[in-house]
Amino acid sequence: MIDGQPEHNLGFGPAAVLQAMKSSVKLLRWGLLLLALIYLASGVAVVGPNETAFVLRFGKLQPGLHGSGLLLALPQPVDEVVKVPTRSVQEIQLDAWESSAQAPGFGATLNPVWDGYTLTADANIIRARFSARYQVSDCVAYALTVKNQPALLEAVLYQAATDVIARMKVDDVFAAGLEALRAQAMRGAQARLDQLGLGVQLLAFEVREIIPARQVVPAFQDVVSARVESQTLIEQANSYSASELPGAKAAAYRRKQEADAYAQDLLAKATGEAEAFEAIDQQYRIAPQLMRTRLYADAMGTILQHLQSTTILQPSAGSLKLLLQPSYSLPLLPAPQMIRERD
Amino acid sequence: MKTQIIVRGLIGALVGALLLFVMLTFQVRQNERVVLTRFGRPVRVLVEPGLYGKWLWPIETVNRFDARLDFYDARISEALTRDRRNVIIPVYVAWRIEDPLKFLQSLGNVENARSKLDGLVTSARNTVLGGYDFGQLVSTNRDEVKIPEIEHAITELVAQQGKQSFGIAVEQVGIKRLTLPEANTEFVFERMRAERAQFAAQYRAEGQQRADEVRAKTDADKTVILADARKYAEETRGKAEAEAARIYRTAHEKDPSLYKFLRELDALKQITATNTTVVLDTATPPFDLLRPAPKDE
Repeated sequence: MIDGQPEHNLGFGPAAVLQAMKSSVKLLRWGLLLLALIYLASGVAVVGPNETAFVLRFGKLQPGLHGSGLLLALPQPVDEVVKVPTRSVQEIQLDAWESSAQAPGFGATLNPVWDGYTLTADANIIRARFSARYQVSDCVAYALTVKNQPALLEAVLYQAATDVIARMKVDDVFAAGLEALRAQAMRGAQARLDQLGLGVQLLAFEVREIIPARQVVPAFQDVVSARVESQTLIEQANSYSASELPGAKAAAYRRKQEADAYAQDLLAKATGEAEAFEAIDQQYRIAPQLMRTRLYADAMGTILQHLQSTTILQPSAGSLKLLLQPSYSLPLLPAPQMIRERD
Repeated sequence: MKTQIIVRGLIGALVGALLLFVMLTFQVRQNERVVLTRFGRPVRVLVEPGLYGKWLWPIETVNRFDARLDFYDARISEALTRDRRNVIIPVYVAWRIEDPLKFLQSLGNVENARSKLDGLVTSARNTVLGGYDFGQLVSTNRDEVKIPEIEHAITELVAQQGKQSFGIAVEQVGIKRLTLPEANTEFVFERMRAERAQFAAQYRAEGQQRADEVRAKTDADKTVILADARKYAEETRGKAEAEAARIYRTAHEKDPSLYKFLRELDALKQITATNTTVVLDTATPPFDLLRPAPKDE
């Protein structure tokens, strides 16, 4: 080439070059046609099963929304197809108030810049994690009203939670008020989103975690254990009550039964004896002396059988001296006088 | 040959037209605002979306602004409430460009706008908070909390200035959190601990008291039940004894002398148990039988 022999080095000669150019132009023509076709077809878009699309023609919104399927639009720069995932439920995690946020370890204080927290109605510091689920309800508004939708959504949700918690006592937040917090925050956030015209429908607002600041967790736990202890004390007392009262009732029942039985016994005995007395009396009235003698004789028979010794003295035998051992006692026997009286 | 020339000419014309079209037109998207400047001097403000014509580049320039809502977190700083409490209240601002011409002239771009807004919001927040007490930020009385009112006041203040000076519409200002200066949190923790300790003590005391009450009541109930039973038993016994006495009396009244006689015989039987030594005279029946019979009988 340097030596000035170009023809030889070309290898084919001018005719061959011309021929090659002609055929490549032909190829180029087809290529161009193909490119033109591809360009014309570039406006055709596939709208996914969870999406809704709309068309901007020369930047101007065209009426009509397009569901999933093939959307025949004109190529750029005439038409622009904007696709928005309207059917899928999107989730957003709100972890900025997380207890284990960036701060390494924990000291006695909380830094407002990187320790996320808020204040309750009674000025207690609490931390929380939330999550929210939402769906795009108006795809045009969603795409054309707000620049950074998730960030704004997040800010609005935090605002709503702050507003609700600022009216709730710390004990309510941790217990019964959780449901109210959830519902009210969601309502508040939705109102704000509607005010901004974001085109988003909140489906759920969940409180994944809500706790006091780590610095005071032991104090809160102590309250919980105090509650348990108090409950235990009460339950022990209740079980004492449950075990003691039936015993007392049983004892009382037994006592009453005994008294009833005694009364019945007594009355039966009295009635029996009264009846027996009346029966004797009837006989006695018929022949008093006979009855008396018989009874007396019966009695004496029984008595004398039991006696160890009997000494019988003449009444005219003069004075009587008794020498008794200490273990013996002289029975009181007014009997002679008594019987004599009866005579 | 002739048709080939025509085709080529057509293609050339098409490409040329396309080139001119691209160079001499521009679009305003649905969400955009455009200020067209000729050698830096604004000549047209375009708010409606669509296709517009313009002169070639160095002559006319298209300044596009996204008119969608922008969201911005204001810088954190301390503020003072009316009752002299230091608070730190992070806020967000939702704003958009309303007057693109004024925006272009006063700020030029979004970064400038944010830093300007920051100043506006901070000063508005401090001003507004100075008119409210701490008790209107957090309160157990729901109606005392004025957060929406405070937000509204800040929005009003910022919106007014933003619109007048920068062509910005501030649509919403929201309080994202309620926090305190770091040094204050320690005292808050102390107070929270004290509060909790008080609650814990209260629970324990209440539990003890309740348990004592239950036990005392149990003991009292027990006593009452047993006393009731005792009373019933005594009454029943008493009544039975009275009744028995009445029965005896009714029977014995019919013949007191027989009764006396029988009772005496019974007493005699009971008194004279075994190992009793009795000294009797022979006048006692039936021993009188041992005596010689009286002569006249």
